[in-house]
Amino acid sequence: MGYHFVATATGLGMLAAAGVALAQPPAAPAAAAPTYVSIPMETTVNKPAAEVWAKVGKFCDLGTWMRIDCTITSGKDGEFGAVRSIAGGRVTEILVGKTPMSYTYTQPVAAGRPYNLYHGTLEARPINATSTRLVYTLVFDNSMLADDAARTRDLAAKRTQFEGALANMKALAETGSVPPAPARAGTPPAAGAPAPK
Amino acid sequence: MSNSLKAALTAGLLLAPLSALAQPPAAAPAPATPANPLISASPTYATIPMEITVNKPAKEVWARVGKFCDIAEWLQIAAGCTITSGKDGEVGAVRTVGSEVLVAKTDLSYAYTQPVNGAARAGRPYNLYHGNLEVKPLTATTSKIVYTLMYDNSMLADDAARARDLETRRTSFMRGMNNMKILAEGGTLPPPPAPPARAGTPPAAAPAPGR
Repeated sequence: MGYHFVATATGLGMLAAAGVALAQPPAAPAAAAPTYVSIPMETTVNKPAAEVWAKVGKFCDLGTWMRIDCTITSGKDGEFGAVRSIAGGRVTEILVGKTPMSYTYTQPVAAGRPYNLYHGTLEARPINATSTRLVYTLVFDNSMLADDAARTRDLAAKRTQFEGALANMKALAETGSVPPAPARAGTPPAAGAPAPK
Repeated sequence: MSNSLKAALTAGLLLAPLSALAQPPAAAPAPATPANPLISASPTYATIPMEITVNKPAKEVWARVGKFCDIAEWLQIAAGCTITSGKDGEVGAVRTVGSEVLVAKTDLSYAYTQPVNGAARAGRPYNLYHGNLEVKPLTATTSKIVYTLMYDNSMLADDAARARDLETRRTSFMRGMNNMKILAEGGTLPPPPAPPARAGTPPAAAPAPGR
């Protein structure tokens, strides 16, 4: 079954004149020729792997190291099929893979955009008895982006976001807390703070 | 009221009925945006965990059964398996079996999923099917193969259909796991099960007497 939306120009014009909202055709399911790209990122943490995983490896720990709301809305936390709701419900992610010190998640099909098979995997790998490599890998189909420039920008944006998250995980595991969020450009300084020069 | 205003109002009153007649009849209320048939309205994620113990160290087992296309050997897929995209064993690799995409890996595990196009062609919701294969060390000489399937089964007809589906998958993959054990321990696989006979197909001819 394909997705077909057939209408004549005359019919469309009449409908438009009458103010009838035209039904939006459903988004194409997936790209015809996917190109799966991966973004591997890592950081070294000066703590044993099991300790690091205990601090950052629960499914909704993302709420702490991404500084965003996160709720388990379905299933059992940390188990296959668990669902987390992020950013006021705007993002839904399902836990689809796990090992003792890793988990993998994906997002469901969403209305209005092609499905890009987006997956993320977080893993804590022991280096030695006292240090750990935290590895975050994203994989997704970026063939539906407009052009190579858009794909490059998208890759860079995701890398920036998740390398920031890794830095927060490192801080959380080593010090017990995440550093304060950087101030946004244009935000006035807090009351009492010296005015910018 | 000024004469020009009266004239304008009169013109408007005269024009209104004419323009109303020129318009098409009031349209029916706009239809709701058609739902994306790929979206599962109320997903229920089912999990099928399976495991088997192997009398070999984990790394040896993984080396024998853990390559992405090894599935063709231990599931005895007659058509075989080839990597059609990406680098074998790396995230993003695609194998011919189920057009499956490798989406995650650790040293002794990988996870894969199937793309959405199959569901789109069939006109059914995407079930987010994922498989996870992992080898866990137990002792220096033994390990455990763990295979976990996870998917949304909410679109199946009823609980009976869901139970049959679970059982079918479990039977198929437990056979695969038994084969992985055999291969890892150095044995030879039994012949694959015969495919179910199609309705109307005559039975195979009996051997001639004396053979």
